[in-house]
Amino acid sequence: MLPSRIVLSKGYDNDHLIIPNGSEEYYTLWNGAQEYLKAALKDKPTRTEPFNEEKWGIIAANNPYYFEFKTDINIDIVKWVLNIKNSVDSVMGLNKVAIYPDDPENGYSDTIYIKDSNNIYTYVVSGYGGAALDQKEFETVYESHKNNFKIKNYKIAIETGSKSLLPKDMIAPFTSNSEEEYTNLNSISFGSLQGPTSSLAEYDAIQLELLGEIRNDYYPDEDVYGAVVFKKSDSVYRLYKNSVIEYKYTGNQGVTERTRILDAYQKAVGFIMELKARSRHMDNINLYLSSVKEGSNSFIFKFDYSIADGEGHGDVPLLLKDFKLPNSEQSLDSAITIEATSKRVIQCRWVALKLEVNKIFKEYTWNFPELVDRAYSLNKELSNANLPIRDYGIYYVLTPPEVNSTMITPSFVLFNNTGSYDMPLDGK
Amino acid sequence: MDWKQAKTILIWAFIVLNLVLAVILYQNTKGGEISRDTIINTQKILEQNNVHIECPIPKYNGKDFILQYEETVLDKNKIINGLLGDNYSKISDNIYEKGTEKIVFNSGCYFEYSDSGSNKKIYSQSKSEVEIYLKELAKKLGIPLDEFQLDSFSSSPSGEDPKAVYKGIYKNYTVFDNYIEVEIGKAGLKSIKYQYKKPLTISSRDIKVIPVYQILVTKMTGYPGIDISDVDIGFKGIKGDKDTKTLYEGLSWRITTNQGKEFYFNATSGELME
Repeated sequence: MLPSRIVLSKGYDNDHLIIPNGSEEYYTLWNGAQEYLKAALKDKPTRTEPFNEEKWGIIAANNPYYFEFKTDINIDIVKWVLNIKNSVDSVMGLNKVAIYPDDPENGYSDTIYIKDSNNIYTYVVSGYGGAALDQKEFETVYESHKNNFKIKNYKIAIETGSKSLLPKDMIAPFTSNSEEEYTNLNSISFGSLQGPTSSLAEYDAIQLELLGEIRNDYYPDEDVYGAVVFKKSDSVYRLYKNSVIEYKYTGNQGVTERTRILDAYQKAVGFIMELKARSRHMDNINLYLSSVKEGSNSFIFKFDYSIADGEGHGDVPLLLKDFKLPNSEQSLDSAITIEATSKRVIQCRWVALKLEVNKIFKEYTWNFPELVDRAYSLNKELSNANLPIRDYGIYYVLTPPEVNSTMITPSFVLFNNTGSYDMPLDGK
Repeated sequence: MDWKQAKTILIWAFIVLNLVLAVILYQNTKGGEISRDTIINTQKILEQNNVHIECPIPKYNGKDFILQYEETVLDKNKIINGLLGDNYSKISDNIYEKGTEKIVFNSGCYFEYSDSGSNKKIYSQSKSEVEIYLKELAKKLGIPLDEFQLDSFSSSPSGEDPKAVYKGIYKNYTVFDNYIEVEIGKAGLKSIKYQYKKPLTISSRDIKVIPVYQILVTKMTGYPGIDISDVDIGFKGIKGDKDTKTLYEGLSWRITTNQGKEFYFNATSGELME
């Protein structure tokens, strides 16, 4: 559970800075925010009101600290991550949080705004005595980032006064060019993608890469689609030719008690941690929970990859497109899709790539309004859909033909409820 | 110093040392062997748990082996023509019928024939008669009968309709997943179930199998009241999911009861297999 965006604000109509994900300051601020969330969630909110986009836009612009998540995080997961034992369960979950420590509008108490899919909750906390996210820390982080990076004239959408289809709390360089540096991404696919082999030694080599050891309880095989398979009596690993790996529990589910989301999440996270620990491919990858869906007595969690660009530039997220499985028409829209019950992980599919950045930085200048216009003119379905833009970002976009590519440059990506639209950035 | 005596003492000392080392080496080599006491104790534990065993308990605890198959597709036409002759109806790609006879192909390497009308006469239900009949039929259908051996010949619980089961055999190992099951009614052939994949090679794995006495003690004591008639080892595959082929198999222990029920346990994990 990591925020996908942390924004530092000097207030409405003033400067806003996006703190690079994965940077030292990112973790300092997120750790500080956790302290405030812990303090807030112990009590009932001071005020609960139905979600209003304008109102939330103003909160996002006004408050010094703003945290966005890619999806609604269920309150049970939040409590587990924050190690909150006793809480008043007024909030169903959270997807955005704004924090104003020592808020002058609330008698210099700490004010925390939490947004879930329905409501805005305001907590005025007086019991938190720590110094996390105080004015001094704000200034330190703000000054260091303001000086370290090229100018980014970020605004919150509501400040522009425009009646566009953009979310009111969206932060973007609305009024002028943004200059940013990115490196190129190198991608290497998992193992040999030549498909099944008749050599046990070759199977062992693949298994070593997949499981981090040679497991004698897994027997090699192949499937009707030409994928390499390792199976034992209750599970199957399948390595597809497009570098997608699939794990399936094939054993007996036993007595099916109702699945609790936290149990399922813990099982999913445990599986992924194990996967990361034994994989040589995921050292420099950060994972962001991007979607949670309830299945029939299970939960399906999706995680997206981000890769550290290095030298304080933070993480750049990856957009994986058109990674399909042979038995499905639907593309995998996330790097990891994992389904779990209270008892176990029953399926996990992940795009297994060895990703590296070449650390040669190149400057990119981009203009948000221009790129949005270009996206609309290039994509008929985008202009016809008339659906509001949900989000945007700079991503490394990867499709199956590029799984073994050394020159993946960043792209501007727009998201609406039907999908994503990407355009490569023009570098200098 | 008496050098001659010293030399003699040293020679004897080395001879004794070598003998001691040889004994240790022998014990190390044979150290993994299952002792007679272990087998007797296993039998006692089984009896205490109301599990009766009427056969010797195998002592094998050596290496596991892996059997690799060649992908095999049965000659459908030969099988259909051999069993149904002409004028059959194709119900679907995998189902063919003629009167009371029906053939179902379930995968590339399996078919099932059934007949409720006894079109194929077998004049006696004896083992030898069935063997002669099957030999002739195998020639017509392209079944490599020399790669099978009779595994059991039994009557059904009511005492009628004998069933002959042949299992695959490759390099002296039983291949449990290759089989022919023939059921004979009084008036003739009732059904055939046939599964065959061509074995290609056997390779050893750097892992030892679990001796079967451990499986008997830990798993079979959970089935009180059964009578174990046979215990043997052979190759059996793990099914996986529906899209997975089974081209590699490891060793499995088979435990057969007097009632004809078979339990298969993976010989390296000890897990009960379907």
